[in-house]
Amino acid sequence: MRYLLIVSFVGMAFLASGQEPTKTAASSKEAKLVDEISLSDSDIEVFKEQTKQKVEEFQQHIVTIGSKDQPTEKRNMAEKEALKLFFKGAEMQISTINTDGTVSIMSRPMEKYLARLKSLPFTAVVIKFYDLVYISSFTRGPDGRYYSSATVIQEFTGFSGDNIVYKDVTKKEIEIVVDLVEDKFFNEKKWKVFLGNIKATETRKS
Amino acid sequence: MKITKLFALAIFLFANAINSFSQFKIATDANIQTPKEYYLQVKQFGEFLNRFNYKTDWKGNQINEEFAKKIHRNTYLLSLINQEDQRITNPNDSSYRVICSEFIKFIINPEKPQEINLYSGQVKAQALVNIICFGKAAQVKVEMIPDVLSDRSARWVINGVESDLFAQNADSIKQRFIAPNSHETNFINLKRLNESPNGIYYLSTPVANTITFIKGIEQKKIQIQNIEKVTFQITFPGWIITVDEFTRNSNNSGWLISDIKRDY
Repeated sequence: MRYLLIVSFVGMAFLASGQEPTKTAASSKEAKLVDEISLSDSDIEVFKEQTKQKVEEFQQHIVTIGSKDQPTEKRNMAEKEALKLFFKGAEMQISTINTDGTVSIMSRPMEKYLARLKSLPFTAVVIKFYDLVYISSFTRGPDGRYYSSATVIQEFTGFSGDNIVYKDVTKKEIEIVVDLVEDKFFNEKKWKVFLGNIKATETRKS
Repeated sequence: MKITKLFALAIFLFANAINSFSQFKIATDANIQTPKEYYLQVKQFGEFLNRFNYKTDWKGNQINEEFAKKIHRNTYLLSLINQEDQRITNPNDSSYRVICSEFIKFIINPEKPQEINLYSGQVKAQALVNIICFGKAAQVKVEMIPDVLSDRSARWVINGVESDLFAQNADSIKQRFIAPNSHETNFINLKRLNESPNGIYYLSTPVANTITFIKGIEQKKIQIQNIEKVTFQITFPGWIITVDEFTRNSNNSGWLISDIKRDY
């Protein structure tokens, strides 16, 4: 019955609109405003590519930090390198939906989050990321830096021996900050991508 | 009969749209292939805006002719409405479904198609904030609005704070106020502020709440713990919609329209 209603609803929208796709265009005033606040398409592409690289670097570090079969030295190094990707003071906020529908939220400084990842109570941990990385548009802030956010989805599996004892899928929204930093070697200023606060939402648990 | 045929056509179009989507080639690398639901999910509010404005497809790419042929804007808008809303699934009352249908019709009107611009004053966000106030856990609602500065940079600013915590003392209100006829005398009564030990009583409730909240934080009496939930309200001429995040495992999830109302 519900399916039929949804289908009817689709039909209603269809009836309401006619069959032709609708052309949409912002007024020139609004388009100008957006152009002024945001970057050009070519700049966005460069920043998006750099952001994707940084996010992938972070994902690789997360996988290494969580891997109990990797040497401690390598995991410690990954933890240090991962922290370098972030602005100082970045936090991880994790939302969990409880069975009664309430939401539990926990905030941790990034240092603590990464350190905790190293010492989880599982004999083995497998962390995988989906190949989707969604990056929003870049907007200039009052400090001259450009701000965006990237979404990644992580699948976490915790083992006790050969048995899976915990598994979840978490969606992470990562704040992206593009800053103009001085490259002393080349004596020039370059745009550099940093990661900021992360909002993590647990979407599936088993 | 005619309507049944049109419904059948709508079903075909919707199913066809989903099938076309599943034909997207997903790049493979060291990471694992993303399940389809995560492409369809509206992952960011900005993504909601782009889809609402018919700018980007499910993968975040610019909408091209091929996509537009398969998925018209009305179908795409429909996918942005929370379809698990009981008002949509209720077989005995179609009033909300009619409102949704009229809203979509209004948005895609070929003579004046509507869009959402984050910086045009259409969008307000309300954050439900968990705080510690005088050592006790409490919640406040903080209204945020986008603000564009003269150098064309942008930021979010606090537009108001709503909470029972900051209720004003009724006795003080009776003593500290600007009399109702003051507008006839050039608001000379404003001079009462010069003698007042607490000017907060002369402010409107939202402004007074905001100042109390900010002062409380400055004086370390209030501490922000975390943000539990964010809701967006978007206004159009004659309409107001609410956008919430729906965390669930379905194709209709993420940032979706949770309510559509006429704004008289």
